[in-house]
Amino acid sequence: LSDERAYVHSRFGGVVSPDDIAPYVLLPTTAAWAAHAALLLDEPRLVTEHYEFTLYSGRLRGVPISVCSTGLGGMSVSIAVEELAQLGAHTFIAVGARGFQADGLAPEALVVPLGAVRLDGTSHDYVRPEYPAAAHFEVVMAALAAAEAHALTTHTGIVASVGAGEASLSGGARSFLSARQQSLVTQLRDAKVWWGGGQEATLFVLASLYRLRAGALVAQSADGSPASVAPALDLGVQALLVLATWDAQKQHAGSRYAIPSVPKHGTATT
Amino acid sequence: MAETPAYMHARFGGQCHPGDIAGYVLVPGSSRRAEMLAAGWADVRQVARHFEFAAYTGRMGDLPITACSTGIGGTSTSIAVDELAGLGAHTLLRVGVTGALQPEVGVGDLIIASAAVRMDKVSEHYAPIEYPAVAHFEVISALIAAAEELGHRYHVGVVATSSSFTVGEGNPGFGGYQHTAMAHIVPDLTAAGVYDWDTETATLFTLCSLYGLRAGRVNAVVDDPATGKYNPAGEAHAVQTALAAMSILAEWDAAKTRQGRRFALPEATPLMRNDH
Repeated sequence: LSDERAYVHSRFGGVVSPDDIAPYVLLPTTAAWAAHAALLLDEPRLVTEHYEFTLYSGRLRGVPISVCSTGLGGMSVSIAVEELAQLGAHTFIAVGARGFQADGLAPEALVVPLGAVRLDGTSHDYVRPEYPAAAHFEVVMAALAAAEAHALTTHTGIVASVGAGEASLSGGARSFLSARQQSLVTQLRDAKVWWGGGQEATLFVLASLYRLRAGALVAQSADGSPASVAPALDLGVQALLVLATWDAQKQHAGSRYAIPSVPKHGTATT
Repeated sequence: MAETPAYMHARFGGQCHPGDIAGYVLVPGSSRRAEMLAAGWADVRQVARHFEFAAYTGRMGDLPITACSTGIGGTSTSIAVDELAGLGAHTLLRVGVTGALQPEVGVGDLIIASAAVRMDKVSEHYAPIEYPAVAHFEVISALIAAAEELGHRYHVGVVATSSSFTVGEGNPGFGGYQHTAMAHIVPDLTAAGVYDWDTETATLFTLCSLYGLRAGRVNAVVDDPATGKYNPAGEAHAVQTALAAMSILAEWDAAKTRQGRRFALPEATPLMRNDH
């Protein structure tokens, strides 16, 4: 790695090398969630703790997987993604939590975002606001396939990733909403947008710009405890495993994407 | 028989009635391409001819299907999507032509849009600009499957939709007119890895995402980077790919209904049993 780009957070304080990081990375918000997710791996190893970034690496069924907490907010997510990409990671699944009951969603429901509303701030430093924060379709399909295999209920849709935390827009303890924010909340409700975990917009935009793959899972949590997001952490790891398996199959078959199989009798027009 | 519509364009001038529009709808820009798409279908009838909207409904094999031109640009695309959705369309697949932004893309290549940059302006009337214009993963998958099956060169990625054909895409207007605000648009979008320009996709994706409909897009590159000339050779491949993708989607949808599954997905369970 070039020393020219060294700054305080490069390689998470200068201690992490590419050998320490797996291509498949789970990105939970907090260090406590990362510790919980690491226990799902075989022989997890604590790689480093640097500011809000706590990194573990391990394997599951032979697949190398890393877990890295991102902290809250687009700023922290962007540092994590920049550094992990530089270290060789190519596939990311964020696990975040919405703190508030969403209209029409059961508390235990997991949301698989197809895309995110870019209220993060940080992604606007990277590219114009019209650019889409879209989850990668293979990651979306892997999350849904893993959920189906484990009989978990999921919802797909668009989530809002709010830089200042959703409390700023969804009625926190000391909620003050400016006229613009009130209007935005109404518009998001009209658009049937759910609250995300805060990481999605920044992650999706950066991964898309860098031609990497990203997706996310959003759980509901009242208290931020690892237990409240445990099903999402587990599903995230399972989805990474599905992606690694698809990638191996693609390589074996020489195909570019994992897609549903097409019946052999072909299509009506060919 | 035409009735008085609620507004001028409602049900395309009052010409369309429930049942005239199929669930699966191809939405090319031009009426000529709508005719191309419908050329091989059985029992084809023209269900609307109103301003830039020409709609044909027929059967492709057993599948009821519609092709409806949107005309150029976000305004006419939004009218088409609103009217088609009101008449029962659930899957909208755009087939178009495009100018490429990435050096690895050649003339005649197909570009399958995974999401779109919302410079269409019209979609801002529907949702805040930060809302993502995303294609549906099932439609992306079906287009990939179709392009693979037909052996056409294709790319998958983010595309851009402009609100004007010349100045909005960083090209000079009459007499060389240019607006300095657009001077950086081509280098910025190219650096961001955006594959191509068109004038409808972001509107289509935003509206369909808001309405809970499935959308996708396959465009053929018609600007030849080698000669700088218009070369429509890929258009027939885009048409063929879109038709095949609709057949694949219909088969997946039927399988979902039979199996009680929500989505068409690559198989995951057999792989997950493959323990070490």
